[in-house]
Amino acid sequence: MIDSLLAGASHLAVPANLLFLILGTALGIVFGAIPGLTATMGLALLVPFTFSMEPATGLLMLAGIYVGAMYGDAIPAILINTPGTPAAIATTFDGYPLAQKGMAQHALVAAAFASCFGGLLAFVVLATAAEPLAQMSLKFGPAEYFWLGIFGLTIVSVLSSGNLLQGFMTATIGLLLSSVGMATLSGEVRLTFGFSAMQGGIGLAGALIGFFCLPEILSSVIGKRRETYGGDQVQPSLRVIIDTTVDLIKRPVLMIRSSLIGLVVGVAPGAGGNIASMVSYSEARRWEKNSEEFGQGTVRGVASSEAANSAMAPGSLIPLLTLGIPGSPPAAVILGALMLHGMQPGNDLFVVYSEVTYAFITGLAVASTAVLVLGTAGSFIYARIINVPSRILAPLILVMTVVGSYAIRNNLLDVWVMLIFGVVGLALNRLKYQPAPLVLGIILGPYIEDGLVQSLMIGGASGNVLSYMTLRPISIFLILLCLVSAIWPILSATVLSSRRNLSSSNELKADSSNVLTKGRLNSDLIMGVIALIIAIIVCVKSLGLSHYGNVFIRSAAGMLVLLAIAALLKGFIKPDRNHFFESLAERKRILLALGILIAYVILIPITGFIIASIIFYLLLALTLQPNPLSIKTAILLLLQSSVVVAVLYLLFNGLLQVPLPEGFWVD
Amino acid sequence: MKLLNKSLFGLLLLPALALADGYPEKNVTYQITFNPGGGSDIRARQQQPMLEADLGVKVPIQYKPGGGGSLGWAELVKKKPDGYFMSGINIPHIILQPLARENAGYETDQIEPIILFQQIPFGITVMKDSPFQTLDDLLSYAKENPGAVTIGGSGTWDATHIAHLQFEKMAGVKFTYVPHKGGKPKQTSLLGGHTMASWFGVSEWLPYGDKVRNLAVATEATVETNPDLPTFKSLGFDLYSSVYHGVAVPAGTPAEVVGKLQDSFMKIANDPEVRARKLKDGILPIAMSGADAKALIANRKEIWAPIVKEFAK
Repeated sequence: MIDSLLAGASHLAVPANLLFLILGTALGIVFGAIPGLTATMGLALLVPFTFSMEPATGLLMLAGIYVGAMYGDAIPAILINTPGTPAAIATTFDGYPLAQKGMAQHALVAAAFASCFGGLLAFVVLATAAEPLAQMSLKFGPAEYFWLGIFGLTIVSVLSSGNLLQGFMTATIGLLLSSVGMATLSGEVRLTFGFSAMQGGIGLAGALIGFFCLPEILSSVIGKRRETYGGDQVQPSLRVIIDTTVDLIKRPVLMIRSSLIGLVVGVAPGAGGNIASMVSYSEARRWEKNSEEFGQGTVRGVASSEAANSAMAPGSLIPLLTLGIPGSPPAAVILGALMLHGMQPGNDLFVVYSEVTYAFITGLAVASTAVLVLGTAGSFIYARIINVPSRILAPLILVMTVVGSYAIRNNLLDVWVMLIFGVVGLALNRLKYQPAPLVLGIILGPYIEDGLVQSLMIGGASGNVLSYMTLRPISIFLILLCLVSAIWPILSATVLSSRRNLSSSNELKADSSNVLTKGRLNSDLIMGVIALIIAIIVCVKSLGLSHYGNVFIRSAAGMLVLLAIAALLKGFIKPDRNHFFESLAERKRILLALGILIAYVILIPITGFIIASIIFYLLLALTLQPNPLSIKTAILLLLQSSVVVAVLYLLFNGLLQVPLPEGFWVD
Repeated sequence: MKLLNKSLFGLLLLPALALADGYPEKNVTYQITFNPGGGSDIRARQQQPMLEADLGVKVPIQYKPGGGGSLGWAELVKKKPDGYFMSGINIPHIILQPLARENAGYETDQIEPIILFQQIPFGITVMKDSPFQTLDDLLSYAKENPGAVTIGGSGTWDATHIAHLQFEKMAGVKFTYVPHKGGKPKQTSLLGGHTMASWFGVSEWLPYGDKVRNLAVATEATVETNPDLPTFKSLGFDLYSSVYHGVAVPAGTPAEVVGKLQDSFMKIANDPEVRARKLKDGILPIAMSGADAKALIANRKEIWAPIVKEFAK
């Protein structure tokens, strides 16, 4: 084994190989960092280039892309509250608050260090214990996925600290949203309201961009007219790198726990980084001391998420290399690339091609190290991005949200979904509802539904569904985890309640200084009514579906009705009054910006991406101008918008070969 | 008036003539109706350099996944039939989706196949330690215990599902069909013992070597990779099941343009190296012309329409 590793490592001594590996890592960081582009897509685009290369060189480049992307997605998560890929959702929870405190570099370095740590730890496991872990991965069946999904849902209780009812209500709405489109198993088309373009369901990329990115831009940059995106100016320094790294080295338990969670979730075929980082974050919050710091901006939160999603990458390669079963979507592309080079996973890979295989495995470790170097060195540059004045940055980011939500599926409907989610996200924020549980519901829905439906089928064939679903070792373990997770808030409530009161009273004070009008909206009443309406629509619309097509929808809708009633009761008994807009001026600004954004999306299919984007960029930049407008600034802004859009167009359409929307008459 | 008519007619003809003459004058988009990195994508990216060399223009690949491919095919039929937009197609998907769904977004005859370049036959596979040694074992057990045998498939209204329904009808037995979210999860299920048997394509069972055992394959003649494996036909079932992969343009595309594309794809399909690699992976390399593909589609549609009608609610 050691011999094979060394033989594999010798490939990395070839300068060209090392160069392509590092190039791949850098490219991966870019793909991860652009919201809407994913590791999967980066790998797919690069596969043709590997044809002409030696197998080892090509695979090393792919290893770099995969590892790089798992770090890259943290950059926008930290800087602009937008996860670059779904795997970085949990990174936003603490990364963005850190950036707001002027500590963007701390977060970026923590992400790089944790990514490297997670990647290296998973590499060691991959190199030493692949075979037994792969056998374990096969034990994951429908029942296990169902319980994994349910366990994921219990994270809500950690994420929405203090308000379980709100958290579970939005999570359940997320579950229902996940069922829009074609049912993966029964093949039935559901809840599309007659739009055939909705058969693909709600795109996760678009939903994430809308949900995390838009509300931030609309409320801070446009509503509050903040000068820069981050709160304070960031001054990167070497000191920060050393301090942050030392801080994390002193927390081996956190780092190892997070990495192991990522590894195990990666090994389970089909689960992937989205779940890994969420579970890891919530476990960190559960077990770490001073857990009230989580969500307010702590490097520990960033590290827990990033260590997990980076450990997931080598983890997902364990069942791939040994059994040919990809543990994640990017791993599936790597499988395709292996096959193209005539290498079949399994025995073939470890005996016939062992040298190339071990070169690839060692490549993962080297790429993880490259991430640390590129990440820490790059933090000097990335961190300064948010020092750019927001009147330049905001239009650019908004154009990018459109590109990002369109890019993966070439579907303009996804752009509308992004926009709608943005508005919903803003409204939820204003009603003091957490948005994260809703996204969690969208992500977990398919696991729970598919697990449930297949369990009903297989359990039904065996004669006893209940025993099939509960009496299996991993299921029992997961059920126990669910129970612990469910009881936990009650256990910790008594301990934490005193601290929480303290921090929430601080929040209130900060809020009240900005409030101009008293809130008139009763959050729980509004959300309760909306939830009831959703539940009723869903029930009516699912009437014609088969049993397997609607068992999940019905159960979720039933749960939503109960939660909605509870929310209504709470709204009557203990009203929590909020307001959509803090002031008339804010309302005017946000509505104007929204109007321009909607006009933009309407314009895209008519004039095509370029013209619509230039007009949009110019209009928004004009409205964000602080001073009275002169001809000179107008012309400068026009130039600026043309250049920015042209660069974006060349980058995506030319370099990355990602097509952008075309107009009817420009074609 | 006559002159006007003539010139109008000429104007209408002009674009078509210009198309056929200089085609292709600009990039030809190749749409993939599944996710980046999937089987269709990898195939297309393999063809991409050869296509670009032959056509002399760029062939950018574009994705439109969703709805089991239906979103992409709905997009295809909306495009101008000028040969500058083509899409990967899968049979049976493009036949079964419009049959089984009220609003698939397209009709099968709106799609003009250029070529079918490969075929993967399906069969029933069990694990090595399964008590079912032969198809007969499986059938007699299922006859005694209706619904107790779970058989995995890749999805609903795909090749495995329709083959399963046909087989149940022919054999007069009841299994429990367990659909999955594609081929890989289906394989994982069988390997992990979550399903007792599964509909596997040749390319799906080959990598597992002697970890698995095949009971029968749904082809006319035995398959090259498993010469001892009986066909369903030899066991008395008139069952043929394969998934075919190809490329298509919107119906109404000028014949010359279709011909030009067909020539390019034929060259790739008949390339000895491409064929050898496919055979090694358990894929039958074919080079079926658009016309033959149309006939195949018509034939399958006739067989499947009544089955879909019976089972789709």
